[in-house]
Amino acid sequence: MPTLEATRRQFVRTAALSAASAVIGSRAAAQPPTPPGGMELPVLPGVTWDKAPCRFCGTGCHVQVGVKDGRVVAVSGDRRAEVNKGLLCVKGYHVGHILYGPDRLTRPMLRRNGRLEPITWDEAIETIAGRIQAAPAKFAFYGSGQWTVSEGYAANKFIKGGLGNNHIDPNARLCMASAVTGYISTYGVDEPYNCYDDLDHCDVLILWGNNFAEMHPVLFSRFIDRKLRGDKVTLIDLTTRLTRTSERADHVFVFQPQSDLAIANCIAQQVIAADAVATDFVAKHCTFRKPWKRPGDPQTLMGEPCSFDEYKQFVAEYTPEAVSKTSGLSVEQLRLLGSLFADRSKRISSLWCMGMNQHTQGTAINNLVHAIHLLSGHWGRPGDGPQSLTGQPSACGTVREVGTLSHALPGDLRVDKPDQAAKAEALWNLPPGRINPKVGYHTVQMWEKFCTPADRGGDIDTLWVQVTNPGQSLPNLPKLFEKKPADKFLIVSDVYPTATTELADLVLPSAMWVEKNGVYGNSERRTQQWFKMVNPPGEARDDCWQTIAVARKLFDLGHPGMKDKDGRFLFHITDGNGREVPVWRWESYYGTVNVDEKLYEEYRPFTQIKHKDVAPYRELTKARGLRWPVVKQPDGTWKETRYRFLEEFDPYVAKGKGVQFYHSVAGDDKAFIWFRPYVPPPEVPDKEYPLWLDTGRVLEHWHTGTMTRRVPQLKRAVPAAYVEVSREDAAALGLKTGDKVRLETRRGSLELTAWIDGRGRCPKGHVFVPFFDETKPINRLTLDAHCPFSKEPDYKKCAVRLVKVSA
Amino acid sequence: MTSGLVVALDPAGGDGVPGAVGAVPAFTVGEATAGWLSVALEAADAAGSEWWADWLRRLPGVAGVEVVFVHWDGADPEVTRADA
Amino acid sequence: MSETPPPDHPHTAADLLPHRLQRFATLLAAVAVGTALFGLLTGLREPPRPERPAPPSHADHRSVPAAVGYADLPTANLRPDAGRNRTLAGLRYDQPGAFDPVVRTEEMKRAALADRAKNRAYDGAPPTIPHPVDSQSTASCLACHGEGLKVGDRVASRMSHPLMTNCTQCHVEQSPVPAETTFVGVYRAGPGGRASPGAPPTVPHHTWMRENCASCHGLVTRPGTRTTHPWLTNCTQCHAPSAALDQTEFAEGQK
Repeated sequence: MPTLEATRRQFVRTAALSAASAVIGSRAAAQPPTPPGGMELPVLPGVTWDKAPCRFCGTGCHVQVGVKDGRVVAVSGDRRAEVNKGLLCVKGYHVGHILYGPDRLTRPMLRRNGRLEPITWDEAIETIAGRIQAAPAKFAFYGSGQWTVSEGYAANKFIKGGLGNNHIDPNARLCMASAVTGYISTYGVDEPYNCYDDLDHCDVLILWGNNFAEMHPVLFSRFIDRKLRGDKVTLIDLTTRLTRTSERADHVFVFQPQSDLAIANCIAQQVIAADAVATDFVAKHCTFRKPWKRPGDPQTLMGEPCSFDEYKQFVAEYTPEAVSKTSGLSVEQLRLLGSLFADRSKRISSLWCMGMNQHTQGTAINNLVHAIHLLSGHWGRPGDGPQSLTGQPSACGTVREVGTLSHALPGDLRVDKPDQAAKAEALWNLPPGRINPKVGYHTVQMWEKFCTPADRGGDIDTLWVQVTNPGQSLPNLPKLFEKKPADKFLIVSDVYPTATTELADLVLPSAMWVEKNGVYGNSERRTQQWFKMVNPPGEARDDCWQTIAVARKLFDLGHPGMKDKDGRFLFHITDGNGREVPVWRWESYYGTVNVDEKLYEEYRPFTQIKHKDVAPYRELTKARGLRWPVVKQPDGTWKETRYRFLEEFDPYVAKGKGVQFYHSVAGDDKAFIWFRPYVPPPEVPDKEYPLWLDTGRVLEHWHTGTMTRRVPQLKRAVPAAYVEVSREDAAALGLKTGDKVRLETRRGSLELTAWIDGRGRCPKGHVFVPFFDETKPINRLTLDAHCPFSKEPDYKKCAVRLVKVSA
Repeated sequence: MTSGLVVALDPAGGDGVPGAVGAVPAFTVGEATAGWLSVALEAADAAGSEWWADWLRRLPGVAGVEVVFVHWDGADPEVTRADA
Repeated sequence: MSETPPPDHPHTAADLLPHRLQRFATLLAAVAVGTALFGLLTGLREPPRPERPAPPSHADHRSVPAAVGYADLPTANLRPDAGRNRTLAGLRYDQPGAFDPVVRTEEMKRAALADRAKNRAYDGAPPTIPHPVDSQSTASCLACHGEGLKVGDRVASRMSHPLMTNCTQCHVEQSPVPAETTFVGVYRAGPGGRASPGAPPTVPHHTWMRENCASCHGLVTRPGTRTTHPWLTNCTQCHAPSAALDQTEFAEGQK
């Protein structure tokens, strides 16, 4: 028996050890331990699980898809995914439902005598090829940030490398084109240098016109849940309307539409006035830029060099007192922002999405937010920098990287730069000169030309739409969509009947998401791969196959562009024995080769041109996405890059440089700190149209709602569109919640139900309408005015009036 | 005097620490979780405790040591009156 | 502790308890011995460590207070009550930590719903006040219901709606002798539907005046309706409400 003393000592020792263990325990537990449901996937009889990125937004969460008897039966957050760590938002949890709407398109249909009638695939492919063969230059492709990488790559190669026509543009033009021009004109090369890790490291998060809580909920939680773990973090919501994000923000600054330009310049003015310019960083890594030779000239994308003194003079007028008048923020609020940027001990992350991008000065405001971060030195530390977010799952992967824009080629090459086009021709084994040096039509132009009769200059007569719904998402629909002349031919590949198929002459049923192999690229440069898990319904087939089949039909018809310089088919795909596989035949498409892998690997060398090396396909099959540049290590493993341009992280930064903008515009490894002036919006409320109209999304629905409106749980939450009206405006108009009200702009009108306050709360003088509801297409009212450089329209502000219809 | 200590291990090279500490009779090694190790220390008085804690701090593979529990039984009474 | 004690190791009460409870048991025992002194609620200092997330310094009220480091002993304020908290709001030792595992059984759920039904005429009715009300000032209501408070098994729910200062307009004391009635309320809206196993349930009730989910599902509430994942605070990210129940269903032809 131990003595009493020994027992007592043992007890105290145990207590001491327990206290220490408890501290460790509470620390280990401070990391969210396990997602709801635990680390293991639900055990369901007969269900097999596989990974896929979520089909919806640009966050790029990974889901685990449960399949039983050839159908998706369950979805679970992927525990091994760095982006979402096992969590999803309500859309992601229900993503499996989008395959099973009762009205899936299952057969090709041709419009005859005003009605869509089923035809065979052979007839459909022949019809398209015939139209293109008749007038290749009048054909246009309207694609999507929801295209997989290989789908976008095939379409891009087909039209630019095959038809010698550059009329290809994606819906992402409406979504993040301003971010692209912002990055290119600041750093010389597109896409964020940083990544979501910033959300884990920042002290202050500033949201520039971004309803983060509803639009990127998983990322919002990743940040906001840090508060619970005891992190001292501050959320600043710079917004034009109160939202769920505002409810969780420490500071909510409601500003007047368009005055974000003035607010950014005001921050720069204060940083300079406080003598807080990051002198060393700026001297080593930045030069200043003005948008014209002299004020008053038209602004240009790349601008002119300017001295710090000039820059200082330009921003000098943006004092808090002056900007307070433009923006509606108080001088104190503006000073708080200024003093934050003047304090380098805090790490500041700026995030934005549509608020800054869908802006007639979209490039300018992107430039300015980069500028205030560079100027103040809030750039380069994890958690300390500006980052744009995207709204579509592969806006980065398929649009920005594959270059499915009217001026671009894969790998950030341009059609109008002969040396760059020659690089693409070499990689594609095409004869020199195949690529047309004339930039094609951007989205708004393309649809304008399509909707204009041929005898009045409308020189697009056949338009093929894949994976998007322009009949609902284009701005100013009466002008850009509804006026389609009867003799023009609209081809739509989609999964459900939409506002776009309403006017389509040929409808092609497509496979979607896990009904096909695919690769996406999310907002933080992460390339993500998935395999086909279930068969598409009926005769639905991959969009990529559709493109290849049309190309082959043109090849058979003798179109010279469908051959490379050795006379082989543009999509010459071979099996392991070097024999060509006829992938243009559907029965061979999922046969001996993985076409998705073949096209992706063909595309991959392009990405190395500007140091955006995407990972090999085989590596992607093992990972939950990898952030490029993904570079092979001496030991044979592949390493992703969390932060570009920083020596610590980026293998392409020269030794000893610390920071190197190795694709800078001026070739001097330096980024531009831009001045861009405040420019008033093109349409402002007046006596006739006295209110601001803002449009956007709600958490439960994604974009035009073609998928989410077919999910019962999501439709139940927000079944229909409405107009959010402030209490003040409602009182003035004699409106109460539930009243019918007609919204009228200079472009169109729409009847909606009023919701006083609503999901968000508009300040006096503003109304908000979500655009997901195809029965209430708000884009009949919006403005097609766009940023002069990015050509991205402004969906966030135009003048509207409300007319009460009934009680 | 008995103390509970939380030892933060160096992510690269903290593997040998539990063995090295366990070999010293004054220490009782507890659990190691996510880069932390709990340790109980028995010494004659505060000075002895401080000496051992300091030894632990200098041990290769140790990134830091925190005192989270002190049991004063039999320790120097001077210290307990330090609240003035 | 993960170690298995040697055979001659005398089992202490602490050894036999689950890890979490052990922490409290150990602390209580140490106090009982009367010789252990804990340091101040000064927060745990983290040594400089690269690449590891900084631990919370004072997020969790119940973190074991750090003892004073040996070097700081001579100057430390070591009065026995130095760490004692004197404010009402500070009496939060019954609040579970956000990262503590949550056990919730069907039995607990039924009990919670039954308890909830006791002071409501029907689901959605303002709850009656199950205790005497001496002072009707807003502040006195807020003292407990502002943030929510749990002492033993008594729960003062956090307000589920934004602050409205005239509390007794809707919330009234229960009469000890209830009036007779044949009214039968619907006490529960029903469980939320799940689309598939692992999918989050939708919100089965309206959210009008129930904007603050934590009131019934947060940390300080009846165990039966508590969330199993309190560390996730953006509830509507995953749990979709119902426009029909919220009466915001603006479908065609509907008001």
